[in-house]
Amino acid sequence: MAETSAPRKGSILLVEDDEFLRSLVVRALGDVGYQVEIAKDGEEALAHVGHQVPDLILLDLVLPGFSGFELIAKLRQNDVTAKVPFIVLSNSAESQNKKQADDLGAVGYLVKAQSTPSDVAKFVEAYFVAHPHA
Amino acid sequence: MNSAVLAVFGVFVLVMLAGVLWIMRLSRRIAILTADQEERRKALKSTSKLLIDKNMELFDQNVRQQKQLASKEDFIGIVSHQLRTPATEVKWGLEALKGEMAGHAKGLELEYFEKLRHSAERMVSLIDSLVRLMNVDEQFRRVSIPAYDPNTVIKRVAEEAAAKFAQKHITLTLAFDATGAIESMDSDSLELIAENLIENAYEYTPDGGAITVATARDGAGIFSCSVADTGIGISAEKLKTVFVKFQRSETAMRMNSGGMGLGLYLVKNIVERHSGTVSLTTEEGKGSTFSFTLPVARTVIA
Repeated sequence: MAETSAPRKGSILLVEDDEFLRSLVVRALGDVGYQVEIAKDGEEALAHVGHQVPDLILLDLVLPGFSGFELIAKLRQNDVTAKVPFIVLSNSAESQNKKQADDLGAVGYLVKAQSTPSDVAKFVEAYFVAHPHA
Repeated sequence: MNSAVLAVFGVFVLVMLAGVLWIMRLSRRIAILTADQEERRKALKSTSKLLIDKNMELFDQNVRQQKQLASKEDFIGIVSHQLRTPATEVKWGLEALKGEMAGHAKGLELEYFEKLRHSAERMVSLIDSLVRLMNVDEQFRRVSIPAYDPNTVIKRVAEEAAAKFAQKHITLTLAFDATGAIESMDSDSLELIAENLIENAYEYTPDGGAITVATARDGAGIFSCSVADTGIGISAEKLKTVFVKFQRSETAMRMNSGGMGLGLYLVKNIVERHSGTVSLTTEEGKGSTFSFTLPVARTVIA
Protein backbone atom coordinates (compact mmCIF):
# COMPACT_ATOMS: atom_id res chain seq x y z
CA MET A 1 0.00 0.00 0.00
CA ALA A 2 3.00 2.29 -0.39
CA GLU A 3 2.06 5.67 -1.74
CA THR A 4 4.60 7.26 -4.01
CA SER A 5 3.22 10.76 -3.79
CA ALA A 6 2.13 12.44 -0.58
CA PRO A 7 -1.66 12.37 -0.20
CA ARG A 8 -3.42 15.67 -0.86
CA LYS A 9 -3.88 17.63 2.34
CA GLY A 10 -7.53 18.35 3.19
CA SER A 11 -8.85 21.79 2.30
CA ILE A 12 -9.66 24.07 5.22
CA LEU A 13 -11.82 27.17 5.52
CA LEU A 14 -11.00 29.35 8.51
CA VAL A 15 -13.79 31.69 9.62
CA GLU A 16 -12.26 34.26 11.98
CA ASP A 17 -12.71 38.02 12.22
CA ASP A 18 -9.56 38.85 14.21
CA GLU A 19 -6.84 39.45 11.64
CA PHE A 20 -3.91 38.75 13.95
CA LEU A 21 -5.29 35.47 15.31
CA ARG A 22 -6.31 34.48 11.81
CA SER A 23 -2.81 35.00 10.44
CA LEU A 24 -1.32 32.90 13.26
CA VAL A 25 -3.63 29.96 12.60
CA VAL A 26 -2.99 30.16 8.84
CA ARG A 27 0.71 30.15 9.56
CA ALA A 28 0.59 27.17 11.96
CA LEU A 29 -1.52 25.14 9.53
CA GLY A 30 0.76 26.22 6.68
CA ASP A 31 3.75 24.89 8.63
CA VAL A 32 2.23 21.40 8.48
CA GLY A 33 1.38 21.71 4.80
CA TYR A 34 -2.23 22.95 4.70
CA GLN A 35 -3.56 25.47 2.27
CA VAL A 36 -6.09 27.54 4.22
CA GLU A 37 -8.83 29.70 2.75
CA ILE A 38 -10.08 32.49 4.97
CA ALA A 39 -13.38 34.24 5.62
CA LYS A 40 -13.77 37.26 7.90
CA ASP A 41 -17.45 36.64 8.65
CA GLY A 42 -20.41 34.40 7.92
CA GLU A 43 -21.27 36.17 4.64
CA GLU A 44 -17.79 35.62 3.25
CA ALA A 45 -17.87 32.02 4.48
CA LEU A 46 -21.17 31.36 2.67
CA ALA A 47 -19.83 32.94 -0.52
CA HIS A 48 -16.71 30.81 -0.30
CA VAL A 49 -18.53 27.57 0.42
CA GLY A 50 -20.92 28.29 -2.48
CA HIS A 51 -17.86 28.42 -4.73
CA GLN A 52 -15.97 25.45 -3.25
CA VAL A 53 -16.96 23.12 -0.41
CA PRO A 54 -14.00 22.65 2.00
CA ASP A 55 -13.10 19.36 3.71
CA LEU A 56 -13.19 21.08 7.09
CA ILE A 57 -14.29 24.40 8.56
CA LEU A 58 -12.51 26.04 11.50
CA LEU A 59 -15.12 28.28 13.00
CA ASP A 60 -15.16 31.21 15.38
CA LEU A 61 -18.53 31.73 17.11
CA VAL A 62 -18.63 35.46 17.80
CA LEU A 63 -18.54 37.06 14.35
CA PRO A 64 -19.73 40.32 12.81
CA GLY A 65 -23.17 39.89 11.23
CA PHE A 66 -24.46 36.44 12.06
CA SER A 67 -22.89 34.02 14.52
CA GLY A 68 -20.89 30.90 13.80
CA PHE A 69 -23.84 28.75 14.87
CA GLU A 70 -26.11 30.61 12.45
CA LEU A 71 -23.58 29.96 9.70
CA ILE A 72 -23.69 26.22 10.44
CA ALA A 73 -27.50 26.30 10.47
CA LYS A 74 -27.45 27.94 7.02
CA LEU A 75 -24.97 25.37 5.69
CA ARG A 76 -27.15 22.56 7.04
CA GLN A 77 -30.08 23.78 4.94
CA ASN A 78 -28.22 23.17 1.70
CA ASP A 79 -27.74 19.54 0.58
CA VAL A 80 -24.30 20.23 -0.87
CA THR A 81 -22.94 21.80 2.33
CA ALA A 82 -25.08 20.04 4.93
CA LYS A 83 -22.38 17.56 5.91
CA VAL A 84 -19.30 19.80 6.05
CA PRO A 85 -17.47 18.91 9.27
CA PHE A 86 -16.50 21.82 11.52
CA ILE A 87 -14.31 22.51 14.52
CA VAL A 88 -15.23 25.39 16.81
CA LEU A 89 -12.33 27.68 17.64
CA SER A 90 -13.71 30.28 20.02
CA ASN A 91 -13.00 32.15 23.20
CA SER A 92 -16.41 31.43 24.64
CA ALA A 93 -16.05 28.42 26.89
CA GLU A 94 -19.60 28.26 28.26
CA SER A 95 -21.07 24.81 28.56
CA GLN A 96 -24.25 25.78 26.67
CA ASN A 97 -22.15 26.77 23.64
CA LYS A 98 -20.21 23.51 23.86
CA LYS A 99 -23.48 21.63 24.04
CA GLN A 100 -24.93 23.51 21.09
CA ALA A 101 -21.79 22.78 19.06
CA ASP A 102 -22.09 19.13 20.02
CA ASP A 103 -25.76 19.04 19.03
CA LEU A 104 -24.85 20.54 15.65
CA GLY A 105 -22.29 17.76 15.22
CA ALA A 106 -19.03 19.69 15.76
CA VAL A 107 -15.99 17.40 15.50
CA GLY A 108 -14.14 19.49 18.10
CA TYR A 109 -14.34 22.52 20.35
CA LEU A 110 -11.14 24.41 21.09
CA VAL A 111 -11.06 27.40 23.44
CA LYS A 112 -8.54 29.78 21.89
CA ALA A 113 -6.99 30.99 25.14
CA GLN A 114 -6.57 27.41 26.32
CA SER A 115 -4.74 26.28 23.18
CA THR A 116 -2.12 27.57 20.76
CA PRO A 117 -2.09 27.68 16.96
CA SER A 118 0.16 24.61 16.94
CA ASP A 119 -2.40 22.80 19.14
CA VAL A 120 -5.00 23.73 16.51
CA ALA A 121 -2.75 22.33 13.76
CA LYS A 122 -2.24 19.10 15.73
CA PHE A 123 -5.98 18.75 16.24
CA VAL A 124 -6.63 19.25 12.52
CA GLU A 125 -3.93 16.69 11.61
CA ALA A 126 -5.44 14.17 14.02
CA TYR A 127 -8.88 14.79 12.54
CA PHE A 128 -7.70 14.13 8.97
CA VAL A 129 -5.83 11.00 10.07
CA ALA A 130 -9.04 9.66 11.66
CA HIS A 131 -11.26 10.87 8.78
CA PRO A 132 -9.33 10.60 5.49
CA HIS A 133 -11.05 12.82 2.95
CA ALA A 134 -11.97 11.67 -0.55
CA MET B 1 -120.79 23.83 71.75
CA ASN B 2 -120.21 27.56 71.41
CA SER B 3 -117.51 27.56 73.97
CA ALA B 4 -115.86 24.63 72.27
CA VAL B 5 -115.88 26.56 68.95
CA LEU B 6 -114.47 29.60 70.73
CA ALA B 7 -111.76 27.53 72.35
CA VAL B 8 -110.76 26.02 69.01
CA PHE B 9 -110.81 29.48 67.39
CA GLY B 10 -108.75 30.87 70.27
CA VAL B 11 -106.16 28.10 69.88
CA PHE B 12 -106.18 28.70 66.13
CA VAL B 13 -105.55 32.43 66.57
CA LEU B 14 -102.81 31.73 69.06
CA VAL B 15 -101.18 29.24 66.72
CA MET B 16 -101.45 31.70 63.83
CA LEU B 17 -99.98 34.45 65.94
CA ALA B 18 -97.13 32.23 67.04
CA GLY B 19 -96.65 31.23 63.41
CA VAL B 20 -96.51 34.83 62.24
CA LEU B 21 -94.10 35.69 65.02
CA TRP B 22 -91.98 32.69 64.14
CA ILE B 23 -92.01 33.62 60.46
CA MET B 24 -91.06 37.21 61.34
CA ARG B 25 -88.15 36.01 63.49
CA LEU B 26 -87.17 33.56 60.85
CA SER B 27 -87.16 36.20 58.13
CA ARG B 28 -85.13 38.50 60.37
CA ARG B 29 -82.63 35.75 60.92
CA ILE B 30 -82.62 35.05 57.21
CA ALA B 31 -82.00 38.75 56.58
CA ILE B 32 -79.16 38.73 59.09
CA LEU B 33 -77.75 35.55 57.61
CA THR B 34 -78.03 36.96 54.10
CA ALA B 35 -76.27 40.13 55.14
CA ASP B 36 -73.65 38.00 56.81
CA GLN B 37 -73.27 35.91 53.71
CA GLU B 38 -73.01 38.99 51.54
CA GLU B 39 -70.28 40.26 53.82
CA ARG B 40 -68.47 36.96 53.67
CA ARG B 41 -68.84 36.84 49.93
CA LYS B 42 -67.35 40.31 49.71
CA ALA B 43 -64.54 39.29 52.02
CA LEU B 44 -63.92 36.18 49.99
CA LYS B 45 -63.93 38.16 46.80
CA SER B 46 -61.40 40.65 48.10
CA THR B 47 -59.26 37.83 49.49
CA SER B 48 -59.24 36.00 46.20
CA LYS B 49 -58.44 39.25 44.42
CA LEU B 50 -55.56 39.70 46.84
CA LEU B 51 -54.41 36.15 46.12
CA ILE B 52 -54.57 36.75 42.40
CA ASP B 53 -52.64 39.98 42.80
CA LYS B 54 -50.04 38.21 44.95
CA ASN B 55 -49.82 35.45 42.39
CA MET B 56 -49.31 37.94 39.59
CA GLU B 57 -46.70 39.71 41.65
CA LEU B 58 -44.86 36.44 42.29
CA PHE B 59 -45.11 35.57 38.63
CA ASP B 60 -43.67 38.95 37.65
CA GLN B 61 -40.94 38.53 40.20
CA ASN B 62 -40.14 35.09 38.81
CA VAL B 63 -39.99 36.42 35.27
CA ARG B 64 -37.77 39.28 36.41
CA GLN B 65 -35.46 36.88 38.26
CA GLN B 66 -35.27 34.55 35.26
CA LYS B 67 -34.42 37.53 33.09
CA GLN B 68 -31.81 38.71 35.55
CA LEU B 69 -30.30 35.23 35.67
CA ALA B 70 -30.23 34.99 31.89
CA SER B 71 -28.75 38.45 31.51
CA LYS B 72 -26.16 37.70 34.19
CA GLU B 73 -25.19 34.52 32.35
CA ASP B 74 -24.94 36.52 29.14
CA PHE B 75 -22.85 39.04 31.00
CA ILE B 76 -20.46 36.35 32.25
CA GLY B 77 -20.22 34.98 28.72
CA ILE B 78 -19.40 38.38 27.25
CA VAL B 79 -16.89 39.34 29.95
CA SER B 80 -15.05 36.03 29.71
CA HIS B 81 -14.90 36.28 25.93
CA GLN B 82 -13.66 39.86 26.08
CA LEU B 83 -10.98 39.01 28.64
CA ARG B 84 -9.82 35.89 26.84
CA THR B 85 -9.34 37.58 23.49
CA PRO B 86 -6.38 39.84 24.38
CA ALA B 87 -4.91 37.04 26.54
CA THR B 88 -5.07 34.79 23.45
CA GLU B 89 -3.33 37.42 21.33
CA VAL B 90 -0.48 37.63 23.84
CA LYS B 91 -0.21 33.85 24.18
CA TRP B 92 -0.43 33.07 20.48
CA GLY B 93 1.84 35.99 19.58
CA LEU B 94 4.49 34.68 21.95
CA GLU B 95 4.29 31.24 20.39
CA ALA B 96 4.85 32.73 16.95
CA LEU B 97 7.69 34.87 18.31
CA LYS B 98 9.37 31.78 19.70
CA GLY B 99 9.44 30.30 16.20
CA GLU B 100 11.04 33.52 14.92
CA MET B 101 13.64 33.62 17.72
CA ALA B 102 14.64 29.98 17.37
CA GLY B 103 18.41 29.59 17.32
CA HIS B 104 19.45 33.24 17.64
CA ALA B 105 17.94 34.47 20.90
CA LYS B 106 20.44 35.39 23.65
CA GLY B 107 20.31 34.42 27.34
CA LEU B 108 18.45 37.44 28.69
CA GLU B 109 16.01 37.45 25.77
CA LEU B 110 15.13 33.85 26.45
CA GLU B 111 14.73 34.55 30.15
CA TYR B 112 12.36 37.49 29.50
CA PHE B 113 10.54 35.44 26.94
CA GLU B 114 9.90 32.62 29.41
CA LYS B 115 8.66 35.14 31.99
CA LEU B 116 6.22 36.59 29.46
CA ARG B 117 4.99 33.16 28.50
CA HIS B 118 4.50 32.19 32.12
CA SER B 119 2.55 35.42 32.75
CA ALA B 120 0.35 34.81 29.71
CA GLU B 121 -0.47 31.34 31.03
CA ARG B 122 -1.29 32.76 34.45
CA MET B 123 -3.50 35.39 32.90
CA VAL B 124 -5.44 32.70 31.04
CA SER B 125 -5.82 30.57 34.14
CA LEU B 126 -6.86 33.56 36.30
CA ILE B 127 -9.56 34.44 33.78
CA ASP B 128 -10.77 30.82 33.92
CA SER B 129 -10.89 30.91 37.73
CA LEU B 130 -12.73 34.21 37.70
CA VAL B 131 -15.30 32.98 35.19
CA ARG B 132 -15.84 29.75 37.08
CA LEU B 133 -16.31 31.64 40.33
CA MET B 134 -18.92 33.84 38.66
CA ASN B 135 -20.65 30.70 37.42
CA VAL B 136 -20.61 29.18 40.92
CA ASP B 137 -22.45 32.28 42.01
CA GLU B 138 -25.11 31.71 39.37
CA GLN B 139 -25.46 28.00 40.15
CA PHE B 140 -25.87 28.90 43.81
CA ARG B 141 -29.02 30.86 43.01
CA ARG B 142 -30.68 27.92 41.32
CA VAL B 143 -33.69 26.51 43.12
CA SER B 144 -32.71 22.87 42.85
CA ILE B 145 -29.63 20.86 41.96
CA PRO B 146 -29.87 17.35 40.51
CA ALA B 147 -28.46 14.79 42.96
CA TYR B 148 -25.16 13.19 41.97
CA ASP B 149 -22.41 11.01 43.41
CA PRO B 150 -19.61 13.25 44.76
CA ASN B 151 -17.05 10.42 44.57
CA THR B 152 -17.39 10.22 40.78
CA VAL B 153 -16.64 13.94 40.41
CA ILE B 154 -13.64 13.93 42.76
CA LYS B 155 -12.30 10.68 41.29
CA ARG B 156 -12.37 12.19 37.79
CA VAL B 157 -10.41 15.24 38.98
CA ALA B 158 -7.86 13.08 40.84
CA GLU B 159 -7.36 10.79 37.85
CA GLU B 160 -6.82 13.75 35.54
CA ALA B 161 -4.14 15.03 37.92
CA ALA B 162 -2.50 11.60 38.23
CA ALA B 163 -0.55 11.95 34.95
CA LYS B 164 1.08 15.11 36.29
CA PHE B 165 1.74 13.42 39.64
CA ALA B 166 3.82 10.76 37.88
CA GLN B 167 6.27 13.44 36.68
CA LYS B 168 7.16 14.20 40.32
CA HIS B 169 6.88 10.55 41.38
CA ILE B 170 4.08 11.42 43.77
CA THR B 171 1.97 8.50 44.99
CA LEU B 172 -1.76 9.13 44.81
CA THR B 173 -4.07 7.21 47.14
CA LEU B 174 -7.86 7.38 46.88
CA ALA B 175 -10.06 6.37 49.84
CA PHE B 176 -13.67 7.05 48.89
CA ASP B 177 -15.87 5.97 51.78
CA ALA B 178 -18.71 8.45 51.22
CA THR B 179 -21.99 6.84 50.22
CA GLY B 180 -25.08 8.36 48.64
CA ALA B 181 -25.67 11.45 46.56
CA ILE B 182 -25.41 15.14 47.37
CA GLU B 183 -27.68 17.95 46.21
CA SER B 184 -26.36 20.85 48.22
CA MET B 185 -23.75 21.97 45.69
CA ASP B 186 -23.68 21.69 41.89
CA SER B 187 -21.10 19.29 40.46
CA ASP B 188 -19.13 22.06 38.67
CA SER B 189 -18.49 23.80 41.98
CA LEU B 190 -17.43 20.55 43.64
CA GLU B 191 -15.12 19.89 40.71
CA LEU B 192 -13.59 23.36 41.08
CA ILE B 193 -12.97 22.74 44.80
CA ALA B 194 -11.41 19.31 44.20
CA GLU B 195 -9.19 20.71 41.43
CA ASN B 196 -7.94 23.51 43.64
CA LEU B 197 -7.21 21.31 46.67
CA ILE B 198 -5.45 18.65 44.59
CA GLU B 199 -3.52 21.26 42.59
CA ASN B 200 -2.50 22.95 45.83
CA ALA B 201 -1.28 19.65 47.32
CA TYR B 202 0.67 18.94 44.13
CA GLU B 203 2.33 22.38 44.12
CA TYR B 204 3.66 22.04 47.65
CA THR B 205 4.63 18.37 47.65
CA PRO B 206 8.25 17.60 46.71
CA ASP B 207 9.42 14.73 44.47
CA GLY B 208 8.60 11.26 45.79
CA GLY B 209 5.90 12.51 48.16
CA ALA B 210 2.40 11.15 48.66
CA ILE B 211 -1.09 12.63 48.35
CA THR B 212 -4.21 11.00 49.75
CA VAL B 213 -7.72 12.05 48.72
CA ALA B 214 -10.48 10.71 50.97
CA THR B 215 -14.24 11.16 51.29
CA ALA B 216 -16.70 10.16 54.02
CA ARG B 217 -20.26 10.73 55.12
CA ASP B 218 -21.49 10.73 58.69
CA GLY B 219 -24.87 9.72 60.14
CA ALA B 220 -26.05 13.33 60.28
CA GLY B 221 -25.87 13.74 56.51
CA ILE B 222 -22.59 15.62 56.39
CA PHE B 223 -20.26 14.83 53.51
CA SER B 224 -16.55 15.41 54.03
CA CYS B 225 -13.50 15.31 51.82
CA SER B 226 -9.83 15.66 52.69
CA VAL B 227 -6.68 16.08 50.66
CA ALA B 228 -3.54 15.16 52.62
CA ASP B 229 -0.02 15.74 51.35
CA THR B 230 3.53 15.10 52.57
CA GLY B 231 4.57 18.56 51.41
CA ILE B 232 6.32 21.51 53.00
CA GLY B 233 3.55 22.28 55.50
CA ILE B 234 2.71 25.70 56.88
CA SER B 235 4.11 27.43 59.96
CA ALA B 236 1.83 28.31 62.89
CA GLU B 237 1.99 32.07 62.33
CA LYS B 238 1.22 31.75 58.64
CA LEU B 239 -1.74 29.48 59.26
CA LYS B 240 -4.14 32.39 59.70
CA THR B 241 -3.43 33.83 56.29
CA VAL B 242 -3.74 30.60 54.30
CA PHE B 243 -7.28 31.14 53.12
CA VAL B 244 -6.87 34.87 52.68
CA LYS B 245 -7.21 36.18 49.17
CA PHE B 246 -4.06 36.11 47.03
CA GLN B 247 -1.65 35.25 49.81
CA ARG B 248 0.84 32.49 50.07
CA SER B 249 3.03 31.61 53.02
CA GLU B 250 6.69 32.55 52.86
CA THR B 251 7.70 28.90 53.10
CA ALA B 252 5.67 28.36 49.99
CA MET B 253 7.23 31.42 48.34
CA ARG B 254 10.66 29.94 48.90
CA MET B 255 9.58 26.92 46.88
CA ASN B 256 9.22 29.32 43.93
CA SER B 257 6.05 27.56 42.93
CA GLY B 258 3.58 28.76 40.35
CA GLY B 259 0.54 28.48 42.65
CA MET B 260 -1.76 31.47 42.58
CA GLY B 261 -2.99 31.67 46.16
CA LEU B 262 -6.42 32.36 44.73
CA GLY B 263 -7.30 28.67 44.84
CA LEU B 264 -7.71 28.20 48.58
CA TYR B 265 -9.58 31.45 48.91
CA LEU B 266 -12.01 30.18 46.26
CA VAL B 267 -12.40 26.86 48.09
CA LYS B 268 -13.26 28.54 51.39
CA ASN B 269 -15.58 31.02 49.75
CA ILE B 270 -17.55 28.40 47.81
CA VAL B 271 -17.75 25.84 50.64
CA GLU B 272 -18.95 28.36 53.23
CA ARG B 273 -21.59 29.75 50.90
CA HIS B 274 -22.97 26.24 50.66
CA SER B 275 -23.21 25.95 54.46
CA GLY B 276 -20.04 23.88 54.69
CA THR B 277 -16.79 24.29 56.61
CA VAL B 278 -13.10 24.20 55.68
CA SER B 279 -10.25 23.16 57.94
CA LEU B 280 -6.54 22.65 57.79
CA THR B 281 -4.14 20.65 59.91
CA THR B 282 -0.49 21.13 59.15
CA GLU B 283 3.02 20.73 60.42
CA GLU B 284 5.88 22.66 58.86
CA GLY B 285 8.10 20.29 56.92
CA LYS B 286 5.76 17.33 57.39
CA GLY B 287 2.72 18.13 55.29
CA SER B 288 -0.80 19.50 55.33
CA THR B 289 -4.34 18.14 55.24
CA PHE B 290 -7.04 20.35 53.79
CA SER B 291 -10.60 19.21 54.51
CA PHE B 292 -14.06 20.49 53.84
CA THR B 293 -17.54 19.42 54.83
CA LEU B 294 -20.88 19.91 53.13
CA PRO B 295 -24.43 19.07 54.13
CA VAL B 296 -25.68 16.51 51.58
CA ALA B 297 -29.18 18.00 51.45
CA ARG B 298 -30.04 21.31 49.85
CA THR B 299 -30.13 24.13 52.39
CA VAL B 300 -32.31 27.20 52.17
CA ILE B 301 -30.86 30.03 50.15
CA ALA B 302 -30.13 33.08 52.26
